[in-house]
Amino acid sequence: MVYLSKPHRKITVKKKVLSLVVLLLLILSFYFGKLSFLANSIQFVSYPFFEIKNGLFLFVEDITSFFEFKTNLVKENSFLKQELWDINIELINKNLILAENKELKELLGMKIDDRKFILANVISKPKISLYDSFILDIGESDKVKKGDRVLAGTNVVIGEIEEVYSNSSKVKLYSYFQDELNVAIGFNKIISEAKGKGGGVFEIKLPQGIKVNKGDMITFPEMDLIILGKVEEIITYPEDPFQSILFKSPVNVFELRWVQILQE
Amino acid sequence: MGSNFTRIIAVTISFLGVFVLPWWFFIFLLFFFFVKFPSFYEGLIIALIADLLYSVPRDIFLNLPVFFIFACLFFFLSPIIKKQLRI
Repeated sequence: MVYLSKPHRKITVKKKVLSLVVLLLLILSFYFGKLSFLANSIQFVSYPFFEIKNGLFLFVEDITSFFEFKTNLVKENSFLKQELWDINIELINKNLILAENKELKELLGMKIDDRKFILANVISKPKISLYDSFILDIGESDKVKKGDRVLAGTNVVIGEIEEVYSNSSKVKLYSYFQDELNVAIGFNKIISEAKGKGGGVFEIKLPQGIKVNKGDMITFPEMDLIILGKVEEIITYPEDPFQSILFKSPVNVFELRWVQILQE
Repeated sequence: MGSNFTRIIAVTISFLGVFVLPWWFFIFLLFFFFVKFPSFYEGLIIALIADLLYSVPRDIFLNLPVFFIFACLFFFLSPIIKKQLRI
């Protein structure tokens, strides 16, 4: 057994106390946002790493698809053709309704949305982050601002810009566990509070008398044509005066490669 | 020389892990390196980088750097764990 002499022991205790103080100071400076000046340089340095990683993933994906069986590819091709046909018909229908909606709004003298979108590449996906955040390849230079909504496609909202750096920006997903947000349910726009459950799933608690159907669309109270999710499940218990409404985002946030940033 | 080399490899893996690995695997890897190497302070810096890179304010985390706090815990607990495991 090795016994440390008294001065030696004092030095080790001093070292431990000093490192504890330094670590506590770092945690406090993070808490009060004093380390944010480092975030910009870290984002800048990390950019090439994300680019290399994404390039490698694409390369591996290409190689694996090269070795796929021909019969599988033929089947997938015919399935995708059919799906494209169905979606095109739906799109024609939707465009007609949209045009009609615009005309009616004009007739009623209502304000027509003049939205601009910026396309962004997802360079880091949410499954890597504990915070359910992801990083985009555009930033201040592309006029992105904090609070801009992030959409998958043109009408499914998934999150908002939390921090903007010179050439990148950080997005906060809405569906994070226990995060709360105001939503409007269905055609009647019942205003309520939804709680995130993670992975694009949310929960709303409403009194049992209020009629909500499976498939009802959930939007933001202030935005009509932007969808947050679709009601998937309604859970009721006779002993509970409330019903739980579970709704889910129609897109898989873990598979996104591109998103659009809404600028109003 | 050999131990220094493995330490450099470990630092490189954990640094690249910030960009590539899912968060739960990254935490597990950091824990492993904290136990494997004496005073693995490089892990603290890497955890802080992960926090600065990904963190967004979440009520559940009270705006604290979660990776860094985990790394600090591993840093102080690793000697005790090593003693228990007799490494």
